[in-house]
Amino acid sequence: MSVRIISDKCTACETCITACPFGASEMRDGKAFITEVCTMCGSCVEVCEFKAIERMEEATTPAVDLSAYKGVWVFAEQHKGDVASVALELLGEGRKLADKRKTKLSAVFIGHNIKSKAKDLIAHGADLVYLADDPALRDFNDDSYAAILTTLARKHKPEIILAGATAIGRSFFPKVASSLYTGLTADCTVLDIDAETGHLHQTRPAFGGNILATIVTPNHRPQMATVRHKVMKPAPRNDSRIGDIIEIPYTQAGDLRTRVIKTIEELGETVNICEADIIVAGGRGLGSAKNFHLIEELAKVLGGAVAATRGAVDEGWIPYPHQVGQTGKTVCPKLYIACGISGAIQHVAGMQSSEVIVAINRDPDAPIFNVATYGIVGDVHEVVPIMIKKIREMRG
Amino acid sequence: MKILVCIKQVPDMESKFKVNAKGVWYEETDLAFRMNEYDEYAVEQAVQLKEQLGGGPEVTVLSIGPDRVLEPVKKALAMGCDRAVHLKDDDSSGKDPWQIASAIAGFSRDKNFDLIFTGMQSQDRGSAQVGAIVSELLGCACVTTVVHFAFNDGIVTAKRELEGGLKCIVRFRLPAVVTCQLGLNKPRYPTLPNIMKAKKKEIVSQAAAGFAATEALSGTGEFYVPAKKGRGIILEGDVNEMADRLIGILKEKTTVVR
Repeated sequence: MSVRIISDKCTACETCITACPFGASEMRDGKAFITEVCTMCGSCVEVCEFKAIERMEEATTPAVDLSAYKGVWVFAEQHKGDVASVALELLGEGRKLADKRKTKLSAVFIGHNIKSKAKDLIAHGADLVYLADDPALRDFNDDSYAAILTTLARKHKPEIILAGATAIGRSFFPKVASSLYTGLTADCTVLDIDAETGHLHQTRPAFGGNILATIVTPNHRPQMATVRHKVMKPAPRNDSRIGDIIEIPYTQAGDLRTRVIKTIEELGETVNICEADIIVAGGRGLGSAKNFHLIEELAKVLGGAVAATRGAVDEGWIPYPHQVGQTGKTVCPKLYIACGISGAIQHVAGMQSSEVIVAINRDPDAPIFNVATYGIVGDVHEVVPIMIKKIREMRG
Repeated sequence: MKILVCIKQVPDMESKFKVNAKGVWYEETDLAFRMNEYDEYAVEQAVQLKEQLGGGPEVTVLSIGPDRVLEPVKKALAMGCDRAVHLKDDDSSGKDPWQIASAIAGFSRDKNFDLIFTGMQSQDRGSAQVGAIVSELLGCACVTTVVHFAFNDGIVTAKRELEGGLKCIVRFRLPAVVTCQLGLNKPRYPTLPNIMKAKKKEIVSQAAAGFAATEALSGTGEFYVPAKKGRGIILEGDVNEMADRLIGILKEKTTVVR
């Protein structure tokens, strides 16, 4: 496929220049000219009133030279200057992929006052850290983060770039992928690489976990994916590892389109349910807001976070950021205790990949028992207070 | 002001999914469909903004897919959108997020929309990419996972979800793409008079192929139903005994209870 200017018809109106999302159209010798950054998207073909641009389907797309791309990168997310746990998980997974391909693992680390943490990324598996440390990068901003990663990737051509499937990774990775004209797979739970071809097999749940799909980006590089929290094993720390830290000077290109006014930490949400190891969740079966406090107490003695079904949120027992399910958060803790939850697919979709699931429900036929590792058939109002008491005793 | 709302029709998640013969999608027969829930927040926010500005803005709802997507489109019209665009594509499920976004951007490019609302992800694939790619292709701001939205004097102040229980307040000018998260608003139910009124609203049908990129950047290799875990251990009987047994099991089998 190729895009071609028909010189006779071109009136030099420059409409195609404004229309091109990739800046691939320019004026040369008084006529439009399509440069090599053209992605064949066809935007210019649509806007040309004079039918002076044609896209020829019969010609084959100039194949991307896949072998020019080398190395595995991870975007190392930080929250308020601390390396996010998902970044260590990505380093663990990235290390495996890099070793299989016999190539280097690099981390891209963006923020402010984070320089001292860069060596932690090396200790956890990175061979190289690209560090962008600037006061302007303290708060996450789609535009600046995307610009830094896009520029670095254009220059160094990695074959794989991974980020956590966090609000941040999911927000700016699509922008980077489309700028680089490559594919992106969101929310992966399994990654596997063909050591020979370098094709990354990116497996992700869809339809609330009813189906698994393996996605490939066969003709483009880098292969980009966001990876769910807590699915991959974090890389162990090894302080004897050595690596390089390359500082990237940050200059803001043009105005940022969005401005962060302030970052807020909302009360009661201090434990992010996506990152918690233990989650205690409650459903309508609890019967009242007062009973819902039982859940909160059990979570507290266990050192876990509180989650809820949509039903409990709709009843107003707990605010929506705690909602787990098909709408709401997808969580993957080491232990998920479902109290008074029937197990509707909408809820199960958000928690079924938890390592150990405990269900407490009065109804032995409740579907939650189909996904539970351990089930207690009993009244939550009796079972939970006893559990709280016994765990307290156990912990002295 | 011109507002665009992009909505997707998704299968009801309670459906029994069966992989189709091609092995890259599910069998569509016997499935019930509905509007993607996150897109309902998008429709609601667009209509609320229209109401706030005294009915001035024109709200266009757009959906890509086969004729069945006209169902949620009609619902969006009954919720208060003014007109609709159906970008027809019988094989929209076979397109990757890049192609879907390129169709939306291609259609929008010369329409000068000030705001584009869409859901933060779809309930079926959940890629959460289309809104962000549209903004990139149109060269405008994008604010994702928005849980609060306010518009004053041409400036939007929005609250968006970040990680670790963090949220942030951002301010931006138009044009912009906003992706809507659970908690933003409570979508209204279409009333009968509004359903009747919606029947008179314009729905323009165009081929998505005229706008969409022809090349997919990613493709589906495999598509399968995950292996079911066996049913777990179920305890019954005396409450005290069950609690003791469970705590014992958790101490032994997990690393987090000690």
